[in-house]
Amino acid sequence: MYNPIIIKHFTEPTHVGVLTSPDDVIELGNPICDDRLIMHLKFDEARRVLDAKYQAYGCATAVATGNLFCEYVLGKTPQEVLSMPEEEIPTMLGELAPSQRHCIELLGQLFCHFKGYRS
Amino acid sequence: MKELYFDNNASTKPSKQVRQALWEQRELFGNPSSSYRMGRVAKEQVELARQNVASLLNAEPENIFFTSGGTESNNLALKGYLNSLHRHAGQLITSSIEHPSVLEVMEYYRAKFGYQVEHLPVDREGIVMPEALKARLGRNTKMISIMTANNETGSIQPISEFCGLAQERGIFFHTDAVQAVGKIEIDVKALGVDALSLSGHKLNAPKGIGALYLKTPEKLTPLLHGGKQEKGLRCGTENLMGIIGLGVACAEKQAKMQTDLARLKQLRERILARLPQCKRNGPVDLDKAMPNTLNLQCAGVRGELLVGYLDQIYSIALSMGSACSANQQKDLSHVLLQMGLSDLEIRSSVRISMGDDTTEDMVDKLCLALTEAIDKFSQLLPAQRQKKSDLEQFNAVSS
Repeated sequence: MYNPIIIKHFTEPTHVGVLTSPDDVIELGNPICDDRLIMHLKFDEARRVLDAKYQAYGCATAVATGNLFCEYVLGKTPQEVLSMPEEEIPTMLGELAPSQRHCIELLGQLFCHFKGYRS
Repeated sequence: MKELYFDNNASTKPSKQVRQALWEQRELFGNPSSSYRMGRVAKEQVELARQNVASLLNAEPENIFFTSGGTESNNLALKGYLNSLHRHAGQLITSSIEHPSVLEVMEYYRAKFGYQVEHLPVDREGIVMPEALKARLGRNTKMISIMTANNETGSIQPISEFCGLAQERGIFFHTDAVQAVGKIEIDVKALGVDALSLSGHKLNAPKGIGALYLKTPEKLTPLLHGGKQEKGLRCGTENLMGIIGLGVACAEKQAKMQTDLARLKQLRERILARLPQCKRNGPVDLDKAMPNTLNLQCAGVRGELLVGYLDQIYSIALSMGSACSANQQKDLSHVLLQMGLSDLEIRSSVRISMGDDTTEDMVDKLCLALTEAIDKFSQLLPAQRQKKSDLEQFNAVSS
């Protein structure tokens, strides 16, 4: 039912929590599934992601998506985050069942948020 | 890691006695319709099983008809009766929490023949009130079908009261008792039902076998044509091994009914005592609920997440009240929705259904695992998430 990437990230999420003084807060949701994801980001002087924490209300795949993205962005500048080709973004979650594919959109929205940092 | 199975309302493991019986009869392949010895032996086994099924229900063997399972039994009862009527018109009454094999048959007769279908509501505890049935009964009501016990919440319906109302008016009454037979006492004569469905794999018999009790079989017309098996009402060569298994399972259930009831009630109490953070969905009075079934709201944590986690980490099998959908539509339990639960409550619900193999040790492990999982994923919840008003506000903004 769940691929190994999803299992790893939802059973042992390593980036759960909130930051006391985040530089940015991302809030995303899906009204059909009622998923909600809140991500706190802290940047260093070089605009690299110094810390990323998240909270989520959602299915296992949504929980995994939040953790996977936190892990991915840590230590990266927005430009480095966005260096991932768009067509490769869905592959980060591995093979998903049809009922899990809504999380590709969630992941895409997280990437999309980083486009705002470019300027 | 040993699998801890708590999804017995979905299916049960064939019992040791059933497996033993099937092993002993593995060389028996004769056609029960054949006149030579091997056929006669097979026929004897079929009739022995029929007696066992009848005995469990306090019915006569001639009122028991073997089918392929609960879905076929429901279809045969409903369609077999409606097809025997001289003209298609009138009202059909069912509840809003039935299995699709009842709901969709009635919908088919509505769409195809113009029947009016009434879906009786349930209260917050998942019970259909006899007053609701009484209020909807009309001069043109042709059939009533209400389940004996619900698969998700275990709520037991007041079937004998419904039957009384139906009998007073000469209305055909069917009950889908798939989740009840073998678990609580069912006496078709005391209940007064015209038809009752049961399924083998819900009571530790093999899959692919079921039965239908019919008080007056001559009222029905067959769905299948082309043979004389089951008095022509359900033709086709009998599923001999399935029938043997069902017969053994029914005899076994009857023999240990009281012991099982006491054991399951005690296990249910044990779970409830160990999971105070969970709120039970279903009848407040536990005597109105199946003793093997608990439907629990898990402190706002998504049931789907808990079920996935318990499966991956503890090899515990549970089921949930909702799942993500592939078609951009909400996929919430129609039973819990009808009971008036909110989306949040439904999404946080899981079902525990116990069976023959469930032990105190298993229950303790389940409770520890579920507690750990709820604690773990509660940390993940956005604080304001647990307030419904905030959720609705957020969704309004998101959409």
